[in-house]
Amino acid sequence: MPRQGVIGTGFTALALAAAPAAAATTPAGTRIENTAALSAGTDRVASNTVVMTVDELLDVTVVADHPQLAVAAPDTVLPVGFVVTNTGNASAAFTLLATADRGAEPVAPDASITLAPGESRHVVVGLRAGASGTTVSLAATAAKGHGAPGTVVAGAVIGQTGASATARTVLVDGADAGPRLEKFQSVLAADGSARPRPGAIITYRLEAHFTGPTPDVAIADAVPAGTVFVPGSITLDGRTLTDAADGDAAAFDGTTVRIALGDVPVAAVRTIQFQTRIQ
Amino acid sequence: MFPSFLSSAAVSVSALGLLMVAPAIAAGPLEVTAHILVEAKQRATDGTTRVALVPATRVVPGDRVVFQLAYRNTGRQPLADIVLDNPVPAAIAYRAPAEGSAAPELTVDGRRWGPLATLDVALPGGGTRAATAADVTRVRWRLGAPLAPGAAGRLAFQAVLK
Repeated sequence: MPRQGVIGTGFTALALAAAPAAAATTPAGTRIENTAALSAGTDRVASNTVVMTVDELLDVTVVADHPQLAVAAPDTVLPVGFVVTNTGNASAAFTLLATADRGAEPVAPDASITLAPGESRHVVVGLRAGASGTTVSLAATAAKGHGAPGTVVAGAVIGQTGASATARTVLVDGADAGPRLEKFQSVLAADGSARPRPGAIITYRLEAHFTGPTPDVAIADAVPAGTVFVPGSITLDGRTLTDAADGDAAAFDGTTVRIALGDVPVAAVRTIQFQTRIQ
Repeated sequence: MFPSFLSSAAVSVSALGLLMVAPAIAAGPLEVTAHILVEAKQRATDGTTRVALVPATRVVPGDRVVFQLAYRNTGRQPLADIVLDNPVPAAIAYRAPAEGSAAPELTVDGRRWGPLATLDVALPGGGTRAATAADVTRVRWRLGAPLAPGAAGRLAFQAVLK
């Protein structure tokens, strides 16, 4: 097997997952009954049964696929993705409104979508004539109504989101668009040379560049065939992390080095290094 | 006459709930009535907001509710070894004793009872983890002293609708 080929095959993926689905809420219409028991020695008596019925809760979230996107070439329609999630407890219709500033034209998606409780829908807004600095927004509002949390509209209760949510994507010049991941490698053989021979150590350096707030970042890099991972070699920004899937951000699962960076709050560069040995 | 651990606050709010529930089932000298109250924000005319307990007619996920038990000895003899036992419905997550109420004993499996810190939950793959309030499946109160004829009391816990 040609060693040069082996070294170049490391697979790297930068996964930007959507926000995790909301925890399951009790569906509207659920009856909750409570009966207590009282005993005194061997005498036992049940209480009355109290019943309450769960009302409809209206809640919605919108998350942009990317906080920033590169400006598209002129005369093309740029797809700008959002995820709309019904975080309420009943099937509900949501009115969608796409807007853009600086003269850009959003091509409206469906005007209304109906989502089951907990269901998410990926909505793509097409954008014409977007320029650097253009903000594209998608607002989703419960068709039954919105307002202050706790208010009642059409027999449903407005939840914490006010039953209306908006997310934005800002267009940036191509060079600014992020995030991007760059990978570098260097080889050190026992004789001090950079020749990729059995026993030589390959040091991989991954640079993750973030141009703005980026949620839930996970980086996975499979160890190339023909090499073995060097235990204890993972560092993040110069700090050594353990290989076990424990409290820190790094783990090696036997085939792949995984780094969970979580939410990156601001523009940043995070550097990950690890080593493998050529077999 | 109420046992000394009851605060006057707990007794006064329960009056709201009493209007909404069916009469308690009486068997012999023992009587127990259950109520569910919900915390509702009420805006006063002076612009302040206060949280009041009202009968739970309209609840949605995230609402804080109070389960309240009123008990009474309607007989002529003192009653010893009194235990009040309340299952926690599946859609309800236990939070804490209600203000003014004695703390109940808790269980997550129906076998071991005690404060939350003493309980743990078995994991599917073996081993255990510390129990959280959301794991609680039943609560109970054991009254330390016999209940005198005509004596009554109320006990309550806070919970949240999942």
